[in-house]
Amino acid sequence: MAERSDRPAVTGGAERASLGRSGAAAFPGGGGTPGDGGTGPEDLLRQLWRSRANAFRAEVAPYFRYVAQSGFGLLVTALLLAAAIQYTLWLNEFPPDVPLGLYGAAWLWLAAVWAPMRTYLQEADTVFLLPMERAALNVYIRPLLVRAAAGGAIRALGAFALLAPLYVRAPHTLATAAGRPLWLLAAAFAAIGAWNAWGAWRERQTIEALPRMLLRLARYGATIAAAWGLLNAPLAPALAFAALAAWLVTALGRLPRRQVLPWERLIREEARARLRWQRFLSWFVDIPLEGWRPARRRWAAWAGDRLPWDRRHMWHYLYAKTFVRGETFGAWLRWHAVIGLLMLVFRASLADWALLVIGVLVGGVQLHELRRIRFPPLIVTLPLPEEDVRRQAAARVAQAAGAAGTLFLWLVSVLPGLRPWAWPDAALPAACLLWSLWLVPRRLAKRRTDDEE
Amino acid sequence: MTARHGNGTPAAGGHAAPAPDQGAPALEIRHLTGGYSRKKPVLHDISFTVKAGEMVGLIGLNGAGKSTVIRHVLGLMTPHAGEVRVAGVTLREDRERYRQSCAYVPEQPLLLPHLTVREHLRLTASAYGLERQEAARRAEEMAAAFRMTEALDALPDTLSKGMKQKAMLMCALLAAPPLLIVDEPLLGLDPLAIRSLMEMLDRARRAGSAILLSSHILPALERRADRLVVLHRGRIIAGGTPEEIKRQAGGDGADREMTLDDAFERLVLQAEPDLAGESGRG
Repeated sequence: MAERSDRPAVTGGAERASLGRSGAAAFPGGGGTPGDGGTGPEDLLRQLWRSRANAFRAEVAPYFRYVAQSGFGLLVTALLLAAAIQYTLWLNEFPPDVPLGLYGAAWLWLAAVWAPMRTYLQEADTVFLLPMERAALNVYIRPLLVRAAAGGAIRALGAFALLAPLYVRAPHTLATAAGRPLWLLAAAFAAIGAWNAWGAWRERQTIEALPRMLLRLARYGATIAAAWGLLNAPLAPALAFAALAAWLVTALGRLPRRQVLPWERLIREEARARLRWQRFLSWFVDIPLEGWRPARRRWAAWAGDRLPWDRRHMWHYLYAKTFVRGETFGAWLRWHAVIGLLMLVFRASLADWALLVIGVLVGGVQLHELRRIRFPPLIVTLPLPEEDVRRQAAARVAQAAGAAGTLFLWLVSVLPGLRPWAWPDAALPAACLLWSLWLVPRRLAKRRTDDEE
Repeated sequence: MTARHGNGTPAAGGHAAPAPDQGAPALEIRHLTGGYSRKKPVLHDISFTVKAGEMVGLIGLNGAGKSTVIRHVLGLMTPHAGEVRVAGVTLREDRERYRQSCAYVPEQPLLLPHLTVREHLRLTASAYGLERQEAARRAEEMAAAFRMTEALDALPDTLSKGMKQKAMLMCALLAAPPLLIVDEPLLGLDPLAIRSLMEMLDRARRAGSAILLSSHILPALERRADRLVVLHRGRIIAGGTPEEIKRQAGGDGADREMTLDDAFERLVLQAEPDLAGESGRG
């Protein structure tokens, strides 16, 4: 970059303030300034990441009680068990028509290219840590890079450890695997994993968007090609190719303009990481989503503008816009898309009917989230219609969305030519409409004690 | 809609609730005592009025009680004693008329995250019962005046603080109800927007809206406000026109060079001499 700061150095007290709620614990004794008693900027920065990581864990840990209560743990256990059983079956007899060399490369690619880095950087750091940028890079970021590289290596090794037993047994790769030492492959994949973490850091440093995207594509391409080569091609050329590709992409990474420490990108990335956790937890418990931004969704948001222009419909307007641009609508859309896709894949009456019912039921449950929409308290200063109208408005929006979702799934299930028509094709949508048009809105329109705020 | 406004100009008309006649009180606060706790009220026996077509400035140090007064006027807090009337009614007597009669611009812009600026204007216009065509015309006019035309279709998360503040102001001015409550409107605005805002407020005032304006920027109030209410520690320590305030601060008006800033400082120091050290002038 390097956009070095011209700001005057801040005092120790200001640095303490920069740590915010999660960083305060980084200054034991609550006393010293950076030059006081051995707690210089480097010492403080060293403790900062740890204290912020601990604070984050302490912040999310209480919510896992709700995750456990929801049965999510049971579901994950069941899925792991099913996967373990399937894996054991494959170990005994791997399907001969499955090209494991290709699938294995994709599997290892997925494990290697994902290179997360939790920095726990905050907005205030651009004010208070910026004057110590060099120290921040050396003491704060560099250990994170080492950690990210180690993480990448371990992920790639883990993925290869799972793949290797199948690799040496599968008919497609049996012959290739016989001629190469697995330890060498493991070492190569670990190196690829670590290299990806370094490459991802170079992308974060790249200032312009286009070179950054091209570098990422180059890294992805090099990784998949190297993984495929190491699993399927002669070993020595494959190793040479992997090394050459890594060197080439690294060299390419030196060309674009870079920032030494891309503060804002790291802060945004950190905010997204926090948001992902909060999104996950919000499936189980009502928690505020920090840094969340609404989606524009012009293609759907126009529907709210068709509502009548009068006071009676203001809550309808608010709910329609809020729903369409919010999280729930995204989840609701994805759900309907997945169900529709499954219908197209199965193309069988029974599966279509089951999917239609499940799709509409779960879609209705998602629409119950409209009850949890909260508007800023100052909205009461606007002359909006009373509380009853508000609940009715939420119900009407859910009704419209439920009807649209039901119609969409029904249309997909009866797409002409895919399968013969049968009586449930008429009866089931009627039952589904009962759920979408009556039961879900009825529950939303009911007054509950937690509506009183 | 303009026809419903007593003496409205097309630019500032459009009241959902009929504006009181010029000179009639749009806001009456009588013996208001209130705050978060009955044991330690923030406000003590506050009384003042804001008449239609009048701009009253509410001034005081941080923590003087300005925001608490505003929260009571908005009906977000219930008085321990006394009453607040907007357009002649209390919130309890006629909630709908009360709400239709005032619009509020908070110090921190509080836009709804899912609505664009244009959608906020639409929400406001229909909440206050404005006609669609007229509301659209005035929204465009205000957007041009505030240089917000390009931002009309933006969501709040893409706007700067100043632009958000302009959007809040546009909503309140679009509604143009009998009482406008504006809390620190000048913070975060660029000089051109400050000028546009003050012109818009003047137009709204000329059209019959009463304006209660809380601000720390006293020169602006000195030029524009008809009257001022000086709060200190939850009590009114002075009130009247800027000249009257200066006279109250300077005794018999001997100091002709006195600014409103000087007068305010003197009044506060008279009320609490211990603050002399903090003021830096001893």
